[in-house]
Amino acid sequence: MFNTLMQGLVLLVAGMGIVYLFLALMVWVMNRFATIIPRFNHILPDDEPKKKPRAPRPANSAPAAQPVPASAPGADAAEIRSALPGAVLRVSVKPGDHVAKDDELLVLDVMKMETPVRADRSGIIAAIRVTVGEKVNTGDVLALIA
Amino acid sequence: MKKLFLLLSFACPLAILGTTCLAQTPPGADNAAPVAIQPSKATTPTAENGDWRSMIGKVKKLKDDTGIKGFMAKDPPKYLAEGYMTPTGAMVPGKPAKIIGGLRYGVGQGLMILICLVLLYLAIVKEFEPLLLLPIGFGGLLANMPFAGVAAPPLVDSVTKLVVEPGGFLYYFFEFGISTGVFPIMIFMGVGAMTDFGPLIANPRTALLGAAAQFGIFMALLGALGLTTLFPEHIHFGLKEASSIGIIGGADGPTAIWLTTKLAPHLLGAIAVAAYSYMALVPIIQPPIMRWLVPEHERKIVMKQLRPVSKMEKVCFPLIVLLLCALLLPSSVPLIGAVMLGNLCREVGPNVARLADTMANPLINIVTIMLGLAVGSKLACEKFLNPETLGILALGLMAFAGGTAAGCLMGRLMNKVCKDPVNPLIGSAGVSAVPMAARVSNKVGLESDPANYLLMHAMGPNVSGVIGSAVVAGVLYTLCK
Repeated sequence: MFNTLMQGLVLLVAGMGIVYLFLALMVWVMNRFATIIPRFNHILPDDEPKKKPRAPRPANSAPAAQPVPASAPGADAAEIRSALPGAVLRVSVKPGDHVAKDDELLVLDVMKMETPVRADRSGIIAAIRVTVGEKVNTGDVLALIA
Repeated sequence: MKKLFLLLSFACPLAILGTTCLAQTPPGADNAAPVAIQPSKATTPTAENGDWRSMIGKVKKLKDDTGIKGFMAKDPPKYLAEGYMTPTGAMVPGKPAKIIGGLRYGVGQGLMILICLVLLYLAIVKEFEPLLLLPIGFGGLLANMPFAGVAAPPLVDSVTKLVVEPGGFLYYFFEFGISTGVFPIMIFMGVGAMTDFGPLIANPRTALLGAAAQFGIFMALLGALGLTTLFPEHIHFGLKEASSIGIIGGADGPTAIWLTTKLAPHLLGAIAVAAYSYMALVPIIQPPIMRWLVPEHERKIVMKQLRPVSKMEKVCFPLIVLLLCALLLPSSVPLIGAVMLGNLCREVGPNVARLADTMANPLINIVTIMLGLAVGSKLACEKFLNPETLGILALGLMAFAGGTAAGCLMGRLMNKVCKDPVNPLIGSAGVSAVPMAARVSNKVGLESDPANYLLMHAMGPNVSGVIGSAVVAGVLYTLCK
């Protein structure tokens, strides 16, 4: 009995050690390559070059409320930005609807998971910038709330 | 069904007067029953059949081959008790079936059918991993139908080595796909084709969280050995069995099936059921442990946004990992190689999109059906209805809890040590269960801060957990075989 238990302990130490070593080595190698590989990016260019510059993700608040120039109907319209990359599964509101804070605006499919996007303020929907099925990236504008 | 049996058992005594009852022979019964009558033979008696009176005798015997009789049968089918020969000529030894409490074999089968119905209920109503538990439950249902022989091996003539009677289709699914380890590998290809390693490439450190969460595997392994010490009369887990039980904590169905088939095939049914049930229960098992181990202020930590990863990096990643694996851990190459093949197809893009799409959708679905049914066919009462299964279920829960805890604690340590903040909640995603565990991290994080989406950060440990559990499986296989 003692013998098998000790064998188990040896397995524990060896197994965890090997997993840590392997993954740590992988981390090290990947950090090395992270500086080298991007130099060869031209060999295999990205399929869809990102045209839209990514908006920096707000640090500690809900998708930021920023005044939108020109395109926005009202000066106080706030953008609802996507915090995650995914696809639009359904849109729960339409322009002109009144929404309260934390109401569900639309639902994104992120990694096959339904992720509701909620209003960060109450107001009237000024515009919906996406259609069902559209792929969105982090920082893309989804809707405007006036 | 019941009606049919009643009709049949009522009609059989009357069959002496006529052959009308032939029309009511249940279609499944003539597969396995040695004296079953082929309707075509009934009209053209051959030499061995003799005259028409022997046919009446056979018809009378039909009543012994109904399911009702089957559920009252005392002994297991002959091939289980006495062993059988495979088409290649190898002998599989028989084992006396011991069922808990000395129940009749037929009653055991009845109980197994109830258990399979519970699995189906969990899959259909409770939506616990329905894609897997439904085929597993149904496979178990089919395999436990007495006399239907759905999972029976073929009958081989011991002298001529010719197949006298082909076996049931689940037998072939199992022999082709699981005994050989082909199905788990094919599933892994699909997993690779569905997985985006981008978050891991952008923040490789999180791979260490995936390593930490493998601790649950070894906790359950030690637990299994401990149980054997505590209850020596009821539970007998050797190192091989203990390793197979531990791998439940990898939270990775195909890895668990792969290792169990190689080390302890008799536990396959219980281990697969435990692994998939607990994977479905991840959203219930993990959050209390995470809330307990991670204080509120650390749950609110916002992580630095992940950098965009170029296509070149994504294409190189599978090749680099495979190379590393080949250099250091050849025993893990089958599993990791399959994942990386799938992932490479995914990342190369439009040119091989058809291959990636096939792996990620039709192929994995087809294999899932066959894998589920084949695993279900191993839910036999003599292997499932014993105290060891209870032990396996308890140890599996322990493995999941241990992995979650180790991941969270490692996350806290990394947050202290590393320059960039790490939210310890993503550590729990290190138990693979892609992408369920990452969703749980995300959800628990949102409870503390509704604007802090951890999903993409949690994908790093999550996918490295897949690599980690494949590594552990390879190590355990090498050390215990």
